[in-house]
Amino acid sequence: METYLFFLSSVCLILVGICAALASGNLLRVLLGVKMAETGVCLLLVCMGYSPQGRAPLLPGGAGRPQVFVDPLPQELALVSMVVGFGATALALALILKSERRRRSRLQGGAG
Amino acid sequence: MSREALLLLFPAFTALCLPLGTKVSRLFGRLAALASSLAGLAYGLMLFPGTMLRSRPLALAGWRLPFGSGLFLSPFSLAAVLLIYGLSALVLGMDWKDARLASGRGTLLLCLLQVVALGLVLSADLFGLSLYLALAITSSTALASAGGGPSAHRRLFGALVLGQLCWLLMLAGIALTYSACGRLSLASLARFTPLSPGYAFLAAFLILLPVLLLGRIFPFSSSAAGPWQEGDPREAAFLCATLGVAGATLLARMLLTLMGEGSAFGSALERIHLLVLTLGAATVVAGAAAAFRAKSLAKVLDGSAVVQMGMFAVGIGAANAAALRGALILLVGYSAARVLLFLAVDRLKDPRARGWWRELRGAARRHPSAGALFLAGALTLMGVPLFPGFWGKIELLRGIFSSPLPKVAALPGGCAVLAGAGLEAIVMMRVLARLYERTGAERGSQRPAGGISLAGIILAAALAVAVLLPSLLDPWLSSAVHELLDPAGDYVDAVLRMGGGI
Repeated sequence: METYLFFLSSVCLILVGICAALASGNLLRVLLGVKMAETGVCLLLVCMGYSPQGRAPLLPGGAGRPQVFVDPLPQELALVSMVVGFGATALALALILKSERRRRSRLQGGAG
Repeated sequence: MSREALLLLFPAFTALCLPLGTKVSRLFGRLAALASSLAGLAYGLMLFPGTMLRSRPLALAGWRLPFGSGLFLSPFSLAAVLLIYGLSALVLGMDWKDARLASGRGTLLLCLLQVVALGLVLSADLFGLSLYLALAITSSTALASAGGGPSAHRRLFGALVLGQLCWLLMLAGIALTYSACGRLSLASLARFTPLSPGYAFLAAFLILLPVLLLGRIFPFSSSAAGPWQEGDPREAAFLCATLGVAGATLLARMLLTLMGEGSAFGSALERIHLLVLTLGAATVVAGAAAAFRAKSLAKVLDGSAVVQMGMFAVGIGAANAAALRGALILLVGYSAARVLLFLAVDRLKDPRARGWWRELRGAARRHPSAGALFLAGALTLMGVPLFPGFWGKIELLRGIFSSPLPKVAALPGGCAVLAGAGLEAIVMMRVLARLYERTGAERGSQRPAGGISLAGIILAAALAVAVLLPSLLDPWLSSAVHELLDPAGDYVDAVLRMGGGI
């Protein structure tokens, strides 16, 4: 049940994010839409390795008995994709800043 | 770590040395990037005879995939590496003094693009590929924003957002694949129990989206044009030399190895091939129309590059030996031709003018060497007999009409290739006529008869290479076609023998 809930939430986040990115004319809102879709994808990745009874994939000292762990691989994938997404966000923000500066200077030039 | 992994590491080492080296000399960046490209080319040529006999996986970090970065060396991937290094060296050897990218930071970006392109060509797991794709999208946008004018930033932002969305959808496709198969290595997925057709098609479509974007296949042929059109022609040439080659190689690897017969996606094989063939045909038509309408010479060349990529996609979609052979000849021919054309444009255009092709009246007469480069590139793209474009298109058409796909799909594909080739020839002839047109001042004067000029030598060399190309490429073409089309071929066997990764 929990897995389905996570799956549905991630699909909703992805769809809302994509719609926001494609429909808005405001550059910051577009970027927020992309970030929302990115969160949805990370949730989807983690949800693929989720096990309801699973524990964090850490081996505590002295624990010898077998345990059920959640799959660590999708978590690693989500972590790496967040880092890559961070770089792209930085570049997108720089482009927004440059575009905004140019718009302002054009407005000031028009007023002058 | 395997010694052959140096193929990926040459530009990475250069990038690491750059911050310190540029303190010593301003020329360090350019010279180091050129030296690393030449070293990569020489090392790749050294490895080529051995790789033609035996493909092999390379461990970069000593861990199983996807925790380590797993690479795979085969005739197909090594040829792409050689193409990337060779063409990059050609572009980096040009004069970059007046370009913004002549700075250390600019060279860092060029090295990053090289690493990304080589990673895309050599990587052997799906998640590694997705990371390289994300870096390709970001770094190509950064390159264009460094060299492009201030008005370009909004368009580049749009291209970046589109790229990010496609990449996120690819990650969703990877998540769906992993949840069904528990594998991410290309070789493991290439030999796996087929998924249900609908699920396989959805996952394959999502995974292919950013590959189509990188290859600029329809509907991304114009929407992803930002990084390719906004910057300097030399940057466009560098993008063609790196990401252009990598995009085409990746499309072939994904479609034929990862999604081939007997793979996890095998149940949706015909639908995926039909989709790519149709999109390829649409790309040819869209590119030819864009090139025909364009006023700017950069956009004409860009439209022409899209046409060639569409033809390559049609060849891959047709998925038989003849079509694949034609597509590979086209890939080698047009990769070199595009770089030549962009470099020639950089010399021919007037920096004060708008860059429209109609303004370049008689430019090739004033710069004969650049004109000869342009002529050699244009003749290759047009598919004039004896040039690689001609052999490639003939093989491609033969392959399309003997494809196992339904005739109702193959026929429009073949017609699109024919129509695109015709339209492209008209566009290129129009530009060539303008470039070699006599100006008023020249009409009255008699041109002195000269000896053998540099332009003549370039053209003669281009013609000699073009005539010999199919026979020169023949051994490599046979192994590459065998590697891509044979589902139980070298690629899958060699990787699975080493454990296959996760």
